[in-house]
Amino acid sequence: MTKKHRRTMPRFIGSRRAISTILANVLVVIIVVSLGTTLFIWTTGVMGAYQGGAGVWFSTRSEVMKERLAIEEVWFTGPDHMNITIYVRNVGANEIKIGALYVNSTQVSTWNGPTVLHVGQVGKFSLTIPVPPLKPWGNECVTYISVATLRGNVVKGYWQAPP
Amino acid sequence: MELLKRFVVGRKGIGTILGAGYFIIIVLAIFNLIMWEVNQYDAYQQLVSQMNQVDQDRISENLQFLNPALTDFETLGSGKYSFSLALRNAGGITTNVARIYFCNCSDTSSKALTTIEKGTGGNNCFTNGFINPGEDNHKIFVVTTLDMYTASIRAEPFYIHVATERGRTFSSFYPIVQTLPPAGSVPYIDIGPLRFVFDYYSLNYTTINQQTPAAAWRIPSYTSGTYIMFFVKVINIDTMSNIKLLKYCVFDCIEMAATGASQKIASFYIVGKNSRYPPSQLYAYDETNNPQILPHAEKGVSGNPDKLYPQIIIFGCSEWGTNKAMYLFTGADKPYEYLVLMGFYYQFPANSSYTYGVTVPFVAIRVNTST
Repeated sequence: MTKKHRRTMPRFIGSRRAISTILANVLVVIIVVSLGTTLFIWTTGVMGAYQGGAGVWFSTRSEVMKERLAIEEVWFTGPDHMNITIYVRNVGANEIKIGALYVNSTQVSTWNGPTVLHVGQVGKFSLTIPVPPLKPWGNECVTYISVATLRGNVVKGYWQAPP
Repeated sequence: MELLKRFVVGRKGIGTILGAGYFIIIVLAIFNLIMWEVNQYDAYQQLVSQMNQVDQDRISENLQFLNPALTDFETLGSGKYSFSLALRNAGGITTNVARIYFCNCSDTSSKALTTIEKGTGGNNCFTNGFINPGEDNHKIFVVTTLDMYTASIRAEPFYIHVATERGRTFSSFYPIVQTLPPAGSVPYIDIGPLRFVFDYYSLNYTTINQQTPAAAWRIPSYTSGTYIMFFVKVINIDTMSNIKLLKYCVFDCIEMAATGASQKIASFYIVGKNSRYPPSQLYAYDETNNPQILPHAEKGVSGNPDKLYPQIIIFGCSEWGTNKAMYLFTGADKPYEYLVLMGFYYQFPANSSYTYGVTVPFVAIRVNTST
């Protein structure tokens, strides 16, 4: 420590003048900075959360919007037309994951067919109507068939069993 | 330099600077967020517009089947056949056919549905499926294992579904529904709600030696004792009610000798609609569980003619409700003549308690003659 410093330090420590002003200034600056930083972090978090949620919404809606599927043909075979074959084509711009098949508004638990349909692909879905609740039905019965995707799109229509 | 010195030494305005700094940063962040959202929304709206355009394109598709729908029949060998499917693109957009389904209404087995893919390979395929808007009589060339020629002359009912690449499906019953011919042209007789059409393929026959239906107005070569079956085209012209045929429907062939009727009548009763030729492909008529229904015509709207649905009735068994094949009574294999009367017994409306029986003077058949 130099001679000058040796003289200044005790004087600074011993003197009580102007300390409150300095402390007040420092405290104010610290408070302002910390509050500002907190506000900045909070704002960034809120905006980030909003941005994330909105991003998920836009992304999900876009994926749903790109889905298009069409039931091309429904074919009834077997005794009492209990076996149904459904041909579904993916005519959208996105691959489709089949979520559920419904016959007369009742979900069919087991069916055979691809779970994923690529763009332009036709899927053949075979199912057997359980007994009950959907039996009996006969020739020329009109059947309400729905195909639902995992993203929530549903394509449906009425089909008539052959005479 | 003086300004910097005053700024460093001076203590006033620091809070203002910090506040302004934070304010600017937060404003910029919010602006960035707004810009991001606008950008995302714009991209989403573009996608919505794009998919709306796809939907509009799909709705703009409109294919029409041209009568008689199937033409240019050819046998290719190896169990393959070819024909053309005639369509008109009445929509406002080019349409690409992706797949064709043929559903045989007479076949209740799992083989009744035939799917025909686009391309040139495989047993069932088609080409020329690209149809421009306004194009008329566009022919799609189909190669398939289905013998549609035989089906067409037998008027075997089919449903044809044409699926497009955009997801629309256009369907037609085959043979295509007919409309009433204009006045003065009467190639049919009407008896009650039944109409019998007189065109060349309204009356066909099959035997074990003639498994493809052929016109039966004249049977050039018939060996005595050969089982035979007759196909008759009938239309229900009532616009309200279906007709259910009863098992007693009969096709009576009265043998004529030089001196008149020989007192021999060969009676052929109605058989199942899936029958092809006797005796192996002849099925009994099940009036209870699988009756033959003649669907009623559809009333034409806005001045359009009624739509009629031709059906083929098959006669071939010697006892009603059985699969016992029957033959014409001929002694020697020489020319014979037959006058044919048909007895039609039916419920009208179908499944009601009203039963009718009518006699239909129909045709005269000659066998073993070249003229």
